[in-house]
Amino acid sequence: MREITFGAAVNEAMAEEMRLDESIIILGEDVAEAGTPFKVLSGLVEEFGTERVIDTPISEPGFTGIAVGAAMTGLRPIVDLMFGDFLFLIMDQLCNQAAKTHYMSGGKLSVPMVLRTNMGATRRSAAQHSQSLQALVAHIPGLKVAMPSSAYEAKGLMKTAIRDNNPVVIFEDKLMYNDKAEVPEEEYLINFGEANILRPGTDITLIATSSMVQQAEMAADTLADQNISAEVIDPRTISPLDETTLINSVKKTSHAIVIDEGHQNYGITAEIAARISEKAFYYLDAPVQRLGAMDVPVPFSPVLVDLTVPTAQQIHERVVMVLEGKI
Amino acid sequence: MAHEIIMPALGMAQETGRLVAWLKNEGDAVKKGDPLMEVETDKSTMEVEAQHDGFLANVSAFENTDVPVGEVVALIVENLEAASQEKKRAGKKNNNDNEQNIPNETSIKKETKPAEDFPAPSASNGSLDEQKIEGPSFTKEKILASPKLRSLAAAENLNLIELKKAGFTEPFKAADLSSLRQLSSHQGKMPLRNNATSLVSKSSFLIFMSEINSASEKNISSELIFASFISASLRVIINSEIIGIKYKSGEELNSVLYQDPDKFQLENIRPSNNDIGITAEVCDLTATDFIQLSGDINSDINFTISDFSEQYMITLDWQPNKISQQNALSLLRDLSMRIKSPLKQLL
Repeated sequence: MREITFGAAVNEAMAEEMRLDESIIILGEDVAEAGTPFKVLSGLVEEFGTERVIDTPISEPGFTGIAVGAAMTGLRPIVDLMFGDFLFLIMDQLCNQAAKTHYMSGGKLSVPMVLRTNMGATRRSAAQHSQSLQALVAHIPGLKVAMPSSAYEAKGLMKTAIRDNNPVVIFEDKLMYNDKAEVPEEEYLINFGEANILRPGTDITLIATSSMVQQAEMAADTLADQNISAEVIDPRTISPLDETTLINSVKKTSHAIVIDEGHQNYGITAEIAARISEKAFYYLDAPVQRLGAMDVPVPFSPVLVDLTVPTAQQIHERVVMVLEGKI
Repeated sequence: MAHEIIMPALGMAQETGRLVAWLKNEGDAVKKGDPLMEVETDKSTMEVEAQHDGFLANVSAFENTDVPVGEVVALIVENLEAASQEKKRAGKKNNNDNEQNIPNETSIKKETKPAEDFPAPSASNGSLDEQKIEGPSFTKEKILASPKLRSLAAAENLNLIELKKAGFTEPFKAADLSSLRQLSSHQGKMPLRNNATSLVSKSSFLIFMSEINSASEKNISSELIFASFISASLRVIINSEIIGIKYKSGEELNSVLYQDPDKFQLENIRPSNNDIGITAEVCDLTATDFIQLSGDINSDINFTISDFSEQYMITLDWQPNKISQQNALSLLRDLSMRIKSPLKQLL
């Protein structure tokens, strides 16, 4: 099977959908000729024109609001938010308008909008360009949140998001755009609310999102050398969350660690850990563990920033502590 | 088709509205948009408009009364005959509440599942999937244990209090289940100690000893080497900072104390006078004809080393609530390896 980069997979998904449906448009900063600073959208304006790939002024709440209105009146916009950190600028448009319009209009209006943005630290971009804010939007009823962990997920989830008649936020790890994975040539979709078990295991369940999936896999490899069998699961979508797969896994292994690059306090890991505690409590032989980014503003110093995100080594050590009964 | 006119909520915190005046009478024809009544809230007086065409009927709220928000005050019906029918129905409704309820009951019955659909909980073979999981309710005393152990124990009707009485460290985990079973079958009296024995060939050890002694001026006894090896094994498995070994040897089994003998060159190992805890006791019977000796054991970990033809017999005797079976066997295995292949250990 061919291998393509994460960025190329996103590009393909959007281009293929835009060919099928003329109502899909893209809005954002530097999306047209520049193809975004990460070059993911290169070639799209050449194919679809400036009426459908629209460079906006530097006003995130402005163009997000335009997209919400466009979605309500018949278009299917994809909003490109250059850095996940800019979510704070668009919270009203996203969470008060897009998320709630279908409900508040008694079903009369829909907002088939995709918000495409990124997360992930260690690019040395400092505190205001490195945040992973998936927990912020997953908290809002009315929004769906997808977190592709490889090129394969990126294409499948983007297509599903575009075809969904509800607002969907997709978080891509900005450090993964050049990572390659096997992506089929034929069309495929990945349903929301379906987790992926990357490797089965018996001793402990590792639940990881986005680039943390790779860290968990690496940890599972080193753990296997110590005869510890770790099951690695990628939820793929945070909201809706495939609880059934996660719970069944923990019932089997009796131990769980949840890893996400958002801050540990009040984050994705806390929510998943809570659900596991609720629904698999009597099967647990140790408390569910969380591994998130350190609860500090992301440092600019390369040495410091590398310390703030979970690593395969940290996962490995935590697994050993859990299984040796030291927790 | 009758449309209900309700007292609207005109403000966020409003609970009642004062119906100031009816602007239409019962039986009047109304059109959508016609003002029907005046309603006053603490902020203002407003007109409430008809949302449908029809005739006003069943006016049930009087002027100058406070009506709770949401309550029906009147109906708009399609024609006047319907208006009188509504009135009759309203009258009946008040008298015949019972009749109305019965249809509801039967419909509710249809929705609940018959009891046979739910699997009955059973404590079959302790399999967690098949039974409803509950913690034990034997004791009110607070015991710290993982939910998994509680489920497994409850499935076998074992009481976690036995673990507590036997001195096992909380929180208890699934790995403690076998100890719990043992305790329960012995009715609370833990079989004093568990033990394991290994036999290792002497040959490499003797060669090692002769090499060391030819290289050194001092006489290095097997005792020093055993003490050093045992200390090293303990350090790996038990992970203790300070290791104290009570070493009994010779015909009289006189005892000396060694502190961290693995941290010293063999020729520098000396008995210690320090007041440190005993990590393990060693009973070195190699200078005697005995191969086995029990009793007079005070520490949690006890080694006995004796001669057995061309081999050393090493017995490890341990207190099960202080060291797990897995660790104990690892300890014996580690020591046996050192004695069997001493040169490898040096490397």
